[in-house]
Amino acid sequence: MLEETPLLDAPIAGMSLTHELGARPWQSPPQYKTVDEAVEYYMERMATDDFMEQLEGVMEMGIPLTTLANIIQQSSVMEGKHSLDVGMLVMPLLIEMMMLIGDNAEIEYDSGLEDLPDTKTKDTLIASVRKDMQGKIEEVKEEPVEEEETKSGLMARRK
Amino acid sequence: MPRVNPARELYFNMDIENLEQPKQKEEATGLLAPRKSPTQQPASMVNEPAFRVGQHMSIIRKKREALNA
Repeated sequence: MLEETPLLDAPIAGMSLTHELGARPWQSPPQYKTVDEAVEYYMERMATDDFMEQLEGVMEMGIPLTTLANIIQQSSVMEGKHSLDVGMLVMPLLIEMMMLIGDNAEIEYDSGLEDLPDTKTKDTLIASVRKDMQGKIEEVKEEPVEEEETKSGLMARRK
Repeated sequence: MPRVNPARELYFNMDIENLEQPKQKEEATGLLAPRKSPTQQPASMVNEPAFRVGQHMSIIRKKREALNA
């Protein structure tokens, strides 16, 4: 069975306190406060030729659009363009817009919207494999290992 | 490892196929008609930001469908 790997890229405790309060862009009021303002900002930005060319290149590399949308909105939050909740609301629109750009350029892109493969091994599968293998593999009877009694007294011999 | 990208779920939660289009009520426009202040107006879906994003999405999707048709 797959084991969960530890999350190693998490922020270090106190990492957010390495600058003065308000020094970071996301600690001050965002540039675009409403969803409408943010939508307008993204539509203008995504309609430029530079953006479209870059996006088409990234799409051809096979990077899922869901990942791109998340990166775009997160970087805007970090730049102080809009708040995180506005970013969450706008994200589906970013995916739809990128799909339109991809369709327009006739690129076969990975939308990232397909069902994700289930990486967890199902218990029923394990049970069926165990049933199939029963009898094929000699069952090894585990003999109890006799533990040697070690003398732990102060005067015991050293090994 | 926990999933950190909510984009897929957010996209499917939009449900833009079933967006309710705002209905325009015929209101009395006479001089003696009661005035309504903005606070008295009923809460409409149009005021919801997610609804407006959905409307934008449906426009873009229609364009996509026209492209792919």
